[in-house]
Amino acid sequence: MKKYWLLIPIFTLVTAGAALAGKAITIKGSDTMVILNQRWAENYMNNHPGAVVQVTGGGSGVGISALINGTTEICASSRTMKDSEQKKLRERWNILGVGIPVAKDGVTLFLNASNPVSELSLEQLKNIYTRKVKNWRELGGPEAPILLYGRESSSGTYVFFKDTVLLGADFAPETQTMPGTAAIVNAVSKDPNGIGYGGVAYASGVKHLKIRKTAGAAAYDPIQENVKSGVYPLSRDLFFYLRKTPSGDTKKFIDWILSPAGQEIVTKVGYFPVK
Amino acid sequence: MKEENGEKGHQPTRAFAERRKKMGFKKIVFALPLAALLSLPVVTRAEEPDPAAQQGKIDSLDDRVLAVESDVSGLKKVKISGYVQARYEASENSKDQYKVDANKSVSSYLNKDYFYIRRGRVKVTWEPTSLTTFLIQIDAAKNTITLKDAEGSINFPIANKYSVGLKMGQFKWPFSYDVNRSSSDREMPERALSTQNLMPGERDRGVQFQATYKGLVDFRTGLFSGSGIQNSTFPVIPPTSKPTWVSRLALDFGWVSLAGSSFVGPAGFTLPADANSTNKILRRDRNRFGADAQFYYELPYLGGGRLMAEMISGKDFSQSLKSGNGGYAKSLGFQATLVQNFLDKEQFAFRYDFWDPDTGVDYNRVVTYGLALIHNFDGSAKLTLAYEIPKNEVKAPAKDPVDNKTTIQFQYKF
Repeated sequence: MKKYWLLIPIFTLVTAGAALAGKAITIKGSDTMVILNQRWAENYMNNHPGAVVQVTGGGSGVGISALINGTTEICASSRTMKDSEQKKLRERWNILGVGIPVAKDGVTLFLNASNPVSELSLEQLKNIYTRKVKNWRELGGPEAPILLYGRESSSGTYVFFKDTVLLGADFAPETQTMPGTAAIVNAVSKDPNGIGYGGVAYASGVKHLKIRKTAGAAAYDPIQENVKSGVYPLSRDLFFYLRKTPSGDTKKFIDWILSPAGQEIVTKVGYFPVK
Repeated sequence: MKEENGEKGHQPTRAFAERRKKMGFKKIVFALPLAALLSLPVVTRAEEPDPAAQQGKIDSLDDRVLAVESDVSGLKKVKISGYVQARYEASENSKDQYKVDANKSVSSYLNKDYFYIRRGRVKVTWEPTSLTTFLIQIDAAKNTITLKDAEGSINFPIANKYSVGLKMGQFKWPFSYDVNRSSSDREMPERALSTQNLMPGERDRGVQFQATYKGLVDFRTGLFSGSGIQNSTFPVIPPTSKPTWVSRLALDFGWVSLAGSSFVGPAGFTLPADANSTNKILRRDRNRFGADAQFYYELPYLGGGRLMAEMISGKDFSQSLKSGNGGYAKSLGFQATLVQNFLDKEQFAFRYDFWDPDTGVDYNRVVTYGLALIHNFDGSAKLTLAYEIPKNEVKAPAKDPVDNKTTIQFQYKF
């Protein structure tokens, strides 16, 4: 063994070198949260000289994969982690993941401003996105085909919508996959027959639907009061996921996000404070 | 200078003019349509675009994009992954064979310090639908290529909570945590001695039924050849006459996982030829039972950790026991591993590995203490430094051999 004791300092040097190589706080994941994350990062770096926060999007699924692979410290996710993802994380890092709600959102249904339909139930939305209902006439609208816009499967909003609205069923193949919520809003704003979904902060230049949980229930707008109380049927938390309980610089950053200063940015971007 | 060049351009020399003459009529014939073609865009630009033609182009582009999308979505159903483990191993009982006295037997002085590729895995997974999966995995290491997995499976989700599935081919036995955990995830270089001895190769050919409930319950049971993939010949006992059943029931509560496994089936032995030159087959029982548990926790500042424990017992017939009359040996293995994360990407592991190949015989037990330091560079690369201390039970005056082993392993996963 004696000649191999040398390996321990060599191993320490290699790992210490690798550890020193990256000191920035990295956030990767949700496209719904990417603007919010950027605003947080900019404000935090402006008010904390020396702090470096790097933000990238790609979708919640991409962020969760990066968290499992160890290529990001913080994963931004607009959905909760799946059992299978938690198991992968556990297998790799001996932990189920630490999830911290950092903001609230109401997944919003976007319609063209000219569309007279103003409220729908979850079941009607399911029928629309599974093509059981194909014409706006069937929903009290004009005689026109319904054109569907949606997100890629790596999107957290896609998974949330599929689980909550479609109850696990597949999206109709006619659904046009868009690279982000901004692209959906842009498409719907130009398409009188279009319908799309996404984070409430993107609802600009289009009209939004009131949503009913069931056919006879009251319909609610995706506004702060309804999302925070949970009566809006598509209310959800936006999360930061980490591989361990935050400490050091990461803890300072997350504490700041949850402080009034950080939560004020949530409101400015268009989402709702978590507290 | 500029003026000189300009003059040359407009007033060609005599030699150049002669060369141009030699080009002849043919060149002019080619040049004319070329000039006509070059002038075409100028004419087109001047015209008003034809909306019908533009729409036709958009439609044609749309069709091409749809075709590309269809091809890409087909390709997304095929996934290629794998990993390579490059190793340096050094044992305390290694000898430099080059320096061994020529009069001594070389076989007792073996070099055990070497670089080698422990595993070179390539896995191709094809998921043509959300219900079906086909998988093939090969291992190209130690100068050989072997088939590890080749399976087709079908899985039916029921109401987003339950799922039932069927798998057929060559794949891992549904037995024990150590068997089913990927070598790319394991902290220690090799599986515990009990797993290596009782479940060699970890895989077999057969058919398996699987049922799960919400990720909480996972039950697998299958009918297998029983001989494992290290036995390249077909088993002498058909699985239909006396099957080998392997089963595992696992409960996963998130922070704690518990499981029990069983492996029950016969083993066949070919007896020496009798007076009629017939080789009779001796059929004897064989079984393994196992239990395993994993407990996960988090320590402040250090991060996640886990404690894994597993016990396996085995019963095997051996023709050499009882003075050659044959008899059963009962074996027992136990392992416990503690893994603790520290810093951001580092892990420390300690393993206690007990193995008794025959509980009815003394002085054959081995206890191996293993230590490992792991650094994860990123999602793909991992460096492991491991040190293993085997303690062999020996009868005095014999001494425990000096055979501690150091392993440095660099793993790249893709």
